Amino acid sequence: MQSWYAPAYRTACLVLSDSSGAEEAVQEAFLRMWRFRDAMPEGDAARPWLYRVVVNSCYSWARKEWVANGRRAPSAALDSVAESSPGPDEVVVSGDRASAMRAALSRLPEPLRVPVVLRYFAGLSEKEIALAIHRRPGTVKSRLHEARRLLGADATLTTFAEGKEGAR
Amino acid sequence: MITEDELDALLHEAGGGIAVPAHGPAAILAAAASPTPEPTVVRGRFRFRELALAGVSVAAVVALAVVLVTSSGSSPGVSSFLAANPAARAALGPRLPAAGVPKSTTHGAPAASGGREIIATGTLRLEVTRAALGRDVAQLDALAARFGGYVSAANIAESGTHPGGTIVIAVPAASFSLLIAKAEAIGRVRSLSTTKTDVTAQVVDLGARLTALVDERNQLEVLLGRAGKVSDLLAVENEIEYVQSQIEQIQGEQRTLAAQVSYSSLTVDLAVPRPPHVSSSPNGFSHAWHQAVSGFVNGVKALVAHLGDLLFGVLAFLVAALLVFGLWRGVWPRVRRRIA
Repeated sequence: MQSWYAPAYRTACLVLSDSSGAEEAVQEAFLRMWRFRDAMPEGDAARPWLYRVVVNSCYSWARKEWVANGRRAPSAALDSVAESSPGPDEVVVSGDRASAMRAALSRLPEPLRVPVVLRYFAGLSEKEIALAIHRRPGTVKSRLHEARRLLGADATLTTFAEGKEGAR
Repeated sequence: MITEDELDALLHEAGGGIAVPAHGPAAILAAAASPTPEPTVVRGRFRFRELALAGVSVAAVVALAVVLVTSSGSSPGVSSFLAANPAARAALGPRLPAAGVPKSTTHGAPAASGGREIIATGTLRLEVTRAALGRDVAQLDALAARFGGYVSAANIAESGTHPGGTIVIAVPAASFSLLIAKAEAIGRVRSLSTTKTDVTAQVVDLGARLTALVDERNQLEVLLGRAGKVSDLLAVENEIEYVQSQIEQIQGEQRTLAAQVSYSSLTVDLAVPRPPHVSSSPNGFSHAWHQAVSGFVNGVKALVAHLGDLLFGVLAFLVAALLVFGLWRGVWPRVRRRIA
């Protein structure tokens, strides 16, 4: 569990843009894993299964927040977190690439954000992501493409990239 | 567009910069070891889901039952025979029983059919020609008489824009199948549906209730003879009166049931097809368009007319399901938080 906790927590943080929510979701995910340990597949399928439980717990947490906060959409909750992150100019000045990326990620729609996190942070293949989020590999591929397009057009990352090139 | 390598590096940088709480694994172990951990809540949620599912299922069953009961019942307001057909009315009228309920074959108890008490009903839709409508009605009347039955209701229009109508024939249960076979030969069969309802349990229940009430009345009559005071006498008499009214009510139900079991009813719908509409427009496309619109409207009308009850049931089911879903999503999380 010790070795799994950190990647699971960071994945949940990137998906939810909320550290306390990520903590709750990961705790719930590990409890679910223990409860349904008999259903855990063996071999290569175990990793996507674990991430699937984490992602599902994130969805459950976001849904609970949605109900609890006067039916405010989860994306709105994530937007509010994104707004509190530094703006493009501050990012360029501070050179905080990580913050810029997290802010850009939190602005992505949730159906695109989850595959991006699972692909480029967790390192899952498109097929494994498809297993994890219960979608066809073709859908995952198109979502990743759309996510890359949106991130490429994101003002924060663009400004940061221009600043980086200018510095060179 | 951002490249995969750039994205990979950026996301690892973004994720790697997130501080992992050191107490996280310990908190999970503590939650797992807790005597009232999250699973209790989850189990509760599952119970609530099961309850919600059960509620939705019950609502669906009730809706279906309402649909079946309303659709199998006889249509209210079926008038006596039409004024436009005095000859047929004269032929049918005298055969209608005065009370509208056939005589029971036994003393109050329904007739048995192979040990079971079965109520059989049916609906036959026939397509007939306008010219032969009067003759077909007379044939149906003759069939009813031939099988020892009668026409319990009729509503026929020979003229006007919608010639046709409905005749309800009641015959002894043993002749029901023969009646259907003969009636089918009168016109072109568009549809036939029959329903058989087993009322054995209802009959047995009524019999048992009647026996118990009769015993109670007998005991009260014994008490009546022993009553010394006037107040006691009046009290016992009141009780006897009440029990007697219940006995008569059950006997009435038994008679009705016996009539329904011993006589099966067949509703025959006689429909005269409309002549094809000839468009005045020489344009073939316009004619086809009007035909298509007319067909669509007629189809919707027929759907609403025949599935009205079903649509009502489906709507009732949807409303019930929405209510349950709303409670589940809206109220239950708050209640659960308060409980927690």
